[in-house]
Parts: sequence; structure tokens; C-alpha cells
Amino acid sequence: MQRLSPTRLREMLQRGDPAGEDNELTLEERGDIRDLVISAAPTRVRRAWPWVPVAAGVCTVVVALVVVAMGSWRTGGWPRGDTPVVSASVRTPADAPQPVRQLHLTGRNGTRIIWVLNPAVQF
Amino acid sequence: MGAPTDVEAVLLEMWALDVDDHLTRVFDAHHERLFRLARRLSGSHDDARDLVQETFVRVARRPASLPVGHDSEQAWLIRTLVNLSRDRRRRAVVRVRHAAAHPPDAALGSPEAAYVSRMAVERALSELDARRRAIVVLHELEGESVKQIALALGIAPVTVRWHLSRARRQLCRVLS
Repeated sequence: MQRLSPTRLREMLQRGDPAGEDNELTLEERGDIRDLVISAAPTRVRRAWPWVPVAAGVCTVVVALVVVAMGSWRTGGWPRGDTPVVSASVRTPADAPQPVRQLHLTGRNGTRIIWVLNPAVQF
Repeated sequence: MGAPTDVEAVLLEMWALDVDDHLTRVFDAHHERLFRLARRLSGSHDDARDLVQETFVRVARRPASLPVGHDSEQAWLIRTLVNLSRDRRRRAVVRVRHAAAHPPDAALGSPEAAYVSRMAVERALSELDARRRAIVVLHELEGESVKQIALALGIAPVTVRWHLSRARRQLCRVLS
């Protein structure tokens, strides 16, 4: 067996390259294949049920619930029915520089709300 | 099974046009390189054309499976084409052998010598299994490095080098 160097072997292969003279598709073949490929794409999909709008609706409801829950959490929790005011009083702090009236509201669960009334506001 | 609504139909149409553009772009960008490789892997122009066609049809059926980027696209397409070529060889019932009437390097320059040379190389390449043939073609005829071939075929560089070494030995035996 004649020993061929890698270089010599490569030269022989390149000289006899199967794609040497036949190295491209004809124009017609290119057009045919392009058309076939495009027609093979799944372009028309019929769904058994409208999952896209249903999924969008479910997501919207979930997001709305989350937003409402977060809003309620920031204001101190869900309102548990009516929370009657246990006591209310109007106070004027002794050390206030000018007369300031405060409205103190205390709920059944211990929540205290202090409204500071603006003395400049005249009703 | 309900018909799509008007809005859904418009969205589907837009998506279809997008897919068509994508497939056309991919085909135009890679068909020349793929055909040359297919021609070197198969025995005839028709077989090479069929291989290229089947490769792109696979892309069309699952466009999302093609990676993004020119080099990644090309590597995926090459790997698919090589695998298809291997499957075809396994199914082939008849293997046509072209006997070289003269040694490959006789009477350089004449059309007959070029034909004989080509036949000899085709015969020699047909002796290799599909993967080894792909590695030899990519390395010796297309100038790809071992690393690039390993990436394209999804195998280790040491495996590529091993196949190259074995292929060279086989080709020397046939061509000499």
C-alpha cells in the first residue's frame, strides 16, 4: 500500500471533490424547495378550545386579586365587617403652639386613629 | 372545535407571515453551504438535493428548534444533514461502486482524468461510514477545524481526531 502524507491525501481529495463542478442547486430546485419548506410550516392551527383568551382572563383575575390583597394589607387587613368606633374624643394637646384639635378614634380591635384638625379650616 | 375569532385569525396570519419570512431567510442564508456538504456526503446531485430539502423541511415543521444566530443555525443544520445522510445510508439497499479505470493522478488536466479522479474519490469516501465521511469532508474539503467540527456534530474534539486518523488510513488504502 502506497503511503500518502496528509497533505498529499488532501490534494487528491480536493482534486476529486464531488462538489467540485456540481456545487449548487439549480434556480428551479431552489424555488421548489423554498416553496415546499414554507408550505410545510404549521401556519394554520385550529384550537379545540379558546385557551388563549381563557388564560388571559384567568391571569387578569389573579393579578386583580393580588393587587387588591396587597392594597388591603397595606391599610391594615381586610375589613371584618363593621368595626364600630369604641370611643371618640376631641383633644387639644397642652403643649401645642397654637390651638390644635385632635379627634381620637379607637376601634374594638385596639386600632387608634388620630385626626389632627387643621385650625385654619373654618366650616 | 371552534373557529378562531377575528382577532385570533389576524394574529395567526401575522405569525404565519413571520414564520414564512424566517424560513425564507434561513434557507437563503444556508442552502449553498448545505448543498455542497450534501453533495460531498451523498453519491449524486439528486440525493444531495433531497438531503437539503429534508433538512429544511425539518426546520419548517419545528421552527422553534433552530437556535438563534448564524453560526448556531449553521451548526444545527449541518448536524441534521449529517444525521439524515447517515439514516439514508443505513436504509440504502444498493451501493453503487465506481471502479477507477486509472490511478487518480494520471494525466492531469484532461476531462477524463478529472472524471476518473472524482469517481475514485467518491468510491473512497463511500467506503467510510456516514459520520467519518462527514468529518473528512468537513476537515479536508471544507477546511473546518477539529474544534468547529466537534461543535457542529456535537461530539468531543478527541473523537473527531480519532475518526480523522482512521479515515485517512482507510482512504490511503483505497486511493493508493
